[in-house]
Amino acid sequence: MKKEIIGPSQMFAMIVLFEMGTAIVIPIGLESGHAVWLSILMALPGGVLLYLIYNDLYRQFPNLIISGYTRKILGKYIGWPLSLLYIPVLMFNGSRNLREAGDLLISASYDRTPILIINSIMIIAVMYILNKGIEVFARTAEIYFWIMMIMGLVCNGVVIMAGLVDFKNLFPLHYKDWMDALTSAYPNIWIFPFGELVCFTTVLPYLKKSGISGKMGVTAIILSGFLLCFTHAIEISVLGMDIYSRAAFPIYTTITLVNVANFIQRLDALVILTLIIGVFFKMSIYCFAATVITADLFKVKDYRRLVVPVGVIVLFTSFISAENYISHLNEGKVFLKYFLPAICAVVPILLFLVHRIRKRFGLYR
Amino acid sequence: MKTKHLSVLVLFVLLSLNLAGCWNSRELNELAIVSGIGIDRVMDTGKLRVTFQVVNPSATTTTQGASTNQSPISIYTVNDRTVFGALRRASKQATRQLFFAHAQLLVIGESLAEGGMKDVLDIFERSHELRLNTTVLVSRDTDAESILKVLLPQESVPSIGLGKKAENTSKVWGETPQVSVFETIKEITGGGGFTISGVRMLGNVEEGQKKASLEQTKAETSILISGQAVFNKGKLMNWIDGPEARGAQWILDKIYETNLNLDSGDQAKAIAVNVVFSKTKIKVEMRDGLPIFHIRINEEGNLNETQSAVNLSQNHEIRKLEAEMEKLTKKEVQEAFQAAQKAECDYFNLGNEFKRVNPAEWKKVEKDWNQIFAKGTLELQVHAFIRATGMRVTPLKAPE
Amino acid sequence: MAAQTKEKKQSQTADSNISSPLSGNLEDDLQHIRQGLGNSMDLIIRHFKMINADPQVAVIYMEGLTDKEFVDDFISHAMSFQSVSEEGRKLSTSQEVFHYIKEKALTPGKSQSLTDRSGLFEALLSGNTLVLVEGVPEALSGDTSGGEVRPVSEAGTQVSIRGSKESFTETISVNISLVRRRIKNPDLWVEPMKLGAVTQTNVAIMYIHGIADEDVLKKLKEKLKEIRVDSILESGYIEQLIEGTVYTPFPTLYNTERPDSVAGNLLDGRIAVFVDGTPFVLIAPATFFMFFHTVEDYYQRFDISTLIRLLRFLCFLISMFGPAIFVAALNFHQEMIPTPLLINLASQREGVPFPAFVEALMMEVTFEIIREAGIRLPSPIGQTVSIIGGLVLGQAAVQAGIVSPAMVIVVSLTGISSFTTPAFNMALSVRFLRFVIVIVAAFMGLYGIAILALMLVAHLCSLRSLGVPYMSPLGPFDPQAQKDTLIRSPIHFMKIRPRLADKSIARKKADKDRQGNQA
Repeated sequence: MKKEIIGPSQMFAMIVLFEMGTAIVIPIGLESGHAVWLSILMALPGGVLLYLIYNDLYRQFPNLIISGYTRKILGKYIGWPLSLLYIPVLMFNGSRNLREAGDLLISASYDRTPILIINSIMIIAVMYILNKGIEVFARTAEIYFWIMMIMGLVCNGVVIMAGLVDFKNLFPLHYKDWMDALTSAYPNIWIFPFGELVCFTTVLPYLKKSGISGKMGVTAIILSGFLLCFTHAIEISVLGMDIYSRAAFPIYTTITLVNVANFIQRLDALVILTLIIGVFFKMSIYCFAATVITADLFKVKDYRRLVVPVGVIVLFTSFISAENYISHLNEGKVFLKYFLPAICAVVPILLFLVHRIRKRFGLYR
Repeated sequence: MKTKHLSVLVLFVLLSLNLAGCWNSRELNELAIVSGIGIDRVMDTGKLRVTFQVVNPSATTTTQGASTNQSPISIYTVNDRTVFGALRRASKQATRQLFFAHAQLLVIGESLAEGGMKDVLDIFERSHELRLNTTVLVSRDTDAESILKVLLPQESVPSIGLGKKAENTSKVWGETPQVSVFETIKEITGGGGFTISGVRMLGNVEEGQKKASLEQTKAETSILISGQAVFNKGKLMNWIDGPEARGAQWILDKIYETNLNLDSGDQAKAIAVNVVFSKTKIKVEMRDGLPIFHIRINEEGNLNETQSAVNLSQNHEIRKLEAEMEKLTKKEVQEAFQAAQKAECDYFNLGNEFKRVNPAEWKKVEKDWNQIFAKGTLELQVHAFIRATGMRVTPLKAPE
Repeated sequence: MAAQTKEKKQSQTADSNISSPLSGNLEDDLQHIRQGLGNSMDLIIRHFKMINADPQVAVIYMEGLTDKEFVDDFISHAMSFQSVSEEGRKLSTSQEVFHYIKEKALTPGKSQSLTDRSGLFEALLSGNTLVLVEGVPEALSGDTSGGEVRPVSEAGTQVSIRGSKESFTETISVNISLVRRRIKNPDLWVEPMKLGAVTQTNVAIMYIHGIADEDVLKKLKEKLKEIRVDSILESGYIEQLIEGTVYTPFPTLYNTERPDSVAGNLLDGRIAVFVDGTPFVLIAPATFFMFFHTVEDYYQRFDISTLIRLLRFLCFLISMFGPAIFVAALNFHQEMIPTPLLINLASQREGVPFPAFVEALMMEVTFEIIREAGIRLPSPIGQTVSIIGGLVLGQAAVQAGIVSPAMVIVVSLTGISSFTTPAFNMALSVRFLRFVIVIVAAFMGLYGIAILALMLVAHLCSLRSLGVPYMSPLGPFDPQAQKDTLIRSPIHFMKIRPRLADKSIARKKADKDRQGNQA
């Protein structure tokens, strides 16, 4: 079979869609009060740095995915079990995204439809596209990137046109706000959504031109950082801090308020569409990462054969893991605090350092 | 191999579609579209009396040949402890499921407003069906139920008509605000007081709910927007009207357009100036533990009518009128401000502005802000401009 | 299946029987030809003797496939030479006669000599006239093909307001010439082949050497060579046999009956496949966006063309999702509809006995019936059908309260929108998909539509037409080609040729030449 390849612009689109996935819909970094937008900006350099570490590891081992070079760097006996750890974490996070989408859909519109149905329809689409391979996925992402951008533009545009925005809600920033912003930026926003890019360590080896990965990736991260910052700033400026922090899905509440000339109103569907698209791509990448790592560790030749099992596990995890949205959120707090940082930041940094040391002292045989 | 995969997937999709079996699918003709909701408190039981105004689609004038003699709306009234309970209990009376996404109007009964209205708003936030930009009105001297019962001329759905009335008067007369549920929630959680337009009924309900009352040039019963209900800590405190009410709007920067009748040399209140632009800027500062409120108003207007013989071709005459405008505005604002101070209720939300700018200081005064507010001083600056005088320069004169 | 292969074998054995050299015995050879064609009545054999020569001569041709004038010309040229022989000598031997006819007797069109019997049949059936001379194991074949064919006329399916009125006919040589007249360049190459074991249909591949992608060309030739069927009656056979993905609702090859469209596509580096017997020429590789372009886009000014193109895409979306979104909004997302409209719709639906979904399906099916009925009928009757169907049925259905007027509006808007897609085969696939989407919408509302759309886009992205990604230049994204995809930028901005595969960009020929002239 022909080797699948991904172009730079496809990579760009995938990263942006991945970053925007769920982070644009659910409130992030609540500790920082009305300075959420600031903490996103603060977390951005950290995110870029983290990506550069992933990228550096990829440049060192251009043909290997993360589980491959983990074994190379740490040796087979530490590397293999450590890589194994990636699989459940990635799958669990994928299932969390699915759950969030399902819950928004249920609370926004489908209150009488079981979450199993909603989630399984989504996962069927994910399995379908992954079955087509990463190249098709990348092309689809490229097309949806534009659709997302247009929808984002429309959403933000109508909110501004409706005269709902009150920038007073964003300012002024006092010393305390800066500190709050910083504490919520690191590690929370740094890890979610920026640290989650660890999934892309499995996508990078498919790049057509490896040289461009750094520049493209960083641009994509900065763009998505700014878009996130802008969107959340708009949300806060419309809703005010109180409602923003109490809302399960602030962007949804924001858009329901829109009423331009009694004609452009009730654009909730656009938000739901944004969420569906975002979650779809984010989850697909999670599933892809989990699938490829599994295939790599257990020496399965064609990763596509694992797509269906991984998808089914993600589907069932998504609604077994928590009995309601509240406990889902509480689980998330623990997960975001301990597990995700370990996988997204600690391990890659460790790999990076060990690799440098071994290389420096010639410890590779 | 590949096609097999594909067909399995397709089968999966089809099966799950069958499973989905349209849980959320509802036919339009199985829904009763609720256009307005009224909530009163039943005094002795503490229950809520919730009134729903439901549209009869076939009787609305939007349809060609709406020949049915039905009233364009039907009213259902239900008593229950919770609003949602009432929604569901209404099924006993309604043939169709009530559908709330298009509720245009929420009327809070005076009885409920006096006891505090915060609790009934939760469902508007929590439910995806109820909307946050529904207009809120407070019934004055009557209950919400009667307000919703009365039919209006021109608008076949009275709730929509009332929403338009509230919007219309707030846009061109500026004495009352058009407030949505969202804004109400924001104000309640903001801590200070706030105001909502009142709505009152002239005539009686019995006549007003008959279709026949619309068959005459002047409807038997009419509903009009009247004054502002002042809420303090979520409870109705008093009503403000007239210049006081407009002054409050001025402080809140909610004047879009309004009319000022100015005095001129020989006659009182004989010149009408239409204010078409107004912008209020507020700064709060603490001096010796007492607040000073700097309020700056910039307004622009067009002279639309004069019944006195002013020579408008003279610049200094215009200047005089502008000064007159400033004086009148100042008077209204001060009146409003003093009323608020007398009532010890900061319904202009000046506290919020202070909180935003200086959160540390705010912490200290937060507790008894209303008292502190009552002792504060107002520093008012008004700049008025007359931009146009219409199609004529000098007024008409009969030879003497 | 088995029967087919058997048949094939038989026809092959028949071929091998025929395939033997000519004997030289005139009667034998003639007998053989008669037998080979089963004594068909349109086989004409004329014997004659030359005035001054002994050997028997026979002229053979198929009636109807040949132009009578040509044949007469040919015969008279071959026969009516003076008794004066070459170099004053009387022609006596058969060889001499044959040579004389071959060298001296002028023949219209190309001529060649054949020695193989099977070749004879091929030549005959292609409209050639054969001359056999007693004692010579060789046949002279002259091209006299002609007969009654449809003349070049105005395009019936791809009408344009401005631009060439010519369209292809059923004759391959005419078709090729129509394109050649537009591209007078030696690099325009045509490669002939014969496909179909029984029909022996003439097929030609046309491309511009140096512009067409070599890989694509190679792939196309391979695919054509792999074709093993008895009959090729229309280019649709080839289209279905060489497309990569069978299970897709979307066409992956483009067809046109307009020579200017073919010429334009050739210049863009595409390859045309001509099939004898049909005016529809295949163009490969095809991308999704091609089906929304017309040649006329380039004849009108760019701003108008851009708007019209965007309109077409909008119509495509309407015809695909229109009824589905209407059903979803009506059944699932009533809150999305503005209040006055909702009240209006509700009052329309008051008396309608069916769920919105059933109503939509009913109307869509009715519409399809009217369309299908109208298409096959002669145009005056067809119009009557559409008037009766559209106006009378629609109006009556609404008045009877069986369907709501809004639904009629939506369905007819969808129908009209689908006619704006210039390529008929793309419109067909939309017709089919529309039903699928309506069903999904009725079950899952907008969420279902969104997921289905995602899967559809993924499916479109997975398609390839002769190796070229179907969704290019949007996925994979090519900034250069955006000038002529969704919009149509001014012509002087489009100097660079669209890239069909991941290849280096070829500049437009004119540019190259201009540079050459300057140098």
